[in-house]
Amino acid sequence: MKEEMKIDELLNSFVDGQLTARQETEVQRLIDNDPQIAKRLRQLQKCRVLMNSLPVTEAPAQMLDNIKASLEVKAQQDMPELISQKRIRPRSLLAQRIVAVAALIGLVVILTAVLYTFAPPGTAPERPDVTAVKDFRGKLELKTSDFVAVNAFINRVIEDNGLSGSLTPMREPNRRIYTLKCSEQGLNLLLADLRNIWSKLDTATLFVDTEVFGEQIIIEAVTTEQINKIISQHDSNKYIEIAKDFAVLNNMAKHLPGREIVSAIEVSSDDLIAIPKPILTSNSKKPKIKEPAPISEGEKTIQLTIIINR
Amino acid sequence: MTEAANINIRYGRTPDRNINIDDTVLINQYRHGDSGAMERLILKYQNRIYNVILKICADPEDAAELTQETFVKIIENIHKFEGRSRFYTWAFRVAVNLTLNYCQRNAKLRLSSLDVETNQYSSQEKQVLKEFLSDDSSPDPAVVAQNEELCSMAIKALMKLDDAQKAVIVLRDIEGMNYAQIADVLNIELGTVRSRLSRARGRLRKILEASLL
Repeated sequence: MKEEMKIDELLNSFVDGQLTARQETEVQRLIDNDPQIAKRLRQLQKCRVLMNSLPVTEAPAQMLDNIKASLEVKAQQDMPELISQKRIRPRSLLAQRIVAVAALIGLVVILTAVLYTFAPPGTAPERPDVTAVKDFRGKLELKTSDFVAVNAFINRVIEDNGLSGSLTPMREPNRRIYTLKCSEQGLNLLLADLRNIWSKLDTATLFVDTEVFGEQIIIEAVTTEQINKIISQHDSNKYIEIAKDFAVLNNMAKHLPGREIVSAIEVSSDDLIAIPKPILTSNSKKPKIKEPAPISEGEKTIQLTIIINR
Repeated sequence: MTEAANINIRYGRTPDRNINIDDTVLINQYRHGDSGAMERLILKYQNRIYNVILKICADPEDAAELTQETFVKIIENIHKFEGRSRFYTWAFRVAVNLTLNYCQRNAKLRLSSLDVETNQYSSQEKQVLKEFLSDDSSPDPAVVAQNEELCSMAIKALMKLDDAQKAVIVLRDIEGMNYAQIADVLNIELGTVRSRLSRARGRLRKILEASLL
């Protein structure tokens, strides 16, 4: 058997022209004297020709552009501070803040009215102060025309943040599905990176599962800050409440006349809710986490399905 | 005609040596701020890298994404390239490593879909393959290349190999690397290349023969 394997290796090297002149002469002598070896050589040659004749497929025409786009996104990821400084122009900062504060006051009033309608004071039974930690389940549906770059970026940040171990990827034509099961900290790390490609998305919708089977809260035009705010709640009632608030808020914002107030809120969102990113302790280069943030016993588990649509 | 090409003709050097000279020049130009040099490198290798990745992972979309990721990694790490190995093998090492890691991660998903696809052979394909294997004359690569049934059977058989065997076959028979280059790309011993290639071809033959049953 070993002898046979040795001869096979020699024949392969002979076919590939990878033998010394002396070895080649020896193999040629073997082939001439043994019809079985000659037959095996022919089979090998056929195998090689078969593989060698497979059609060559050209790379997609937009490959170079996609690589450039990926590099741009990566550069944005490496310099988030610089970009956020660019976005907020100092001259309009004061005006934007005033508009944002005015918009906030208006929204707080509206939200209070909405909450009052859902649960007028005195009608709801009192809840215990300490409630059990509840897992978060939801689905984040992203639509983008820059599918390849966005998917490559998400794939990369999942890996960079050590979440690939908790990942169940699925591939379908024109969409990618990533089902993550991780800790709150793990998702926060991911969200902090995802902020960099949010501008490349056409739509971002979060579906939050409620305790009622099949019932979901749908938050259109969701932001990473809003997702962070929702998952940071340690009580399922609270995160459902906040999810409802954001659903109403975003829906109203969509129908507001003129987008200037919304954009003011979006620009100044850094001041409202900041996503904690534990690994960023200084301006130094982001260290890579190899292991996912473990889910400790009793800690809330985040189950989020990210769907990227073309 | 370029200077490198002239040298090639004068001294009868292999095209591969020629590629190496050009790559070094382009990398130096890129390091001195000429981004166009990197574009030329990408355009030069994108089809070959894409083709190798596609033959290993079997999915055009995956292959496109992995090719893109390969070049992004190459550009990000070009400062680490010291020229000890050739850019050609270095680039393919990045590509093959990414692809094999990706395949490993998605092994379960791929197996379920491939089992269905690769077990379906038409009677015409079987007949063509039977004639090809039983013919004692030396095969003509040009004729084989034009035979769609044979190529289809060959691809299906290749997909049934495990990823490590697939990589060695693709690098040798499709990309045309020599054993030393394959050893460099896969970071394995020369002897391992010999034995792995021998086993892979042996298995390929068995798969092809079994598909006739």
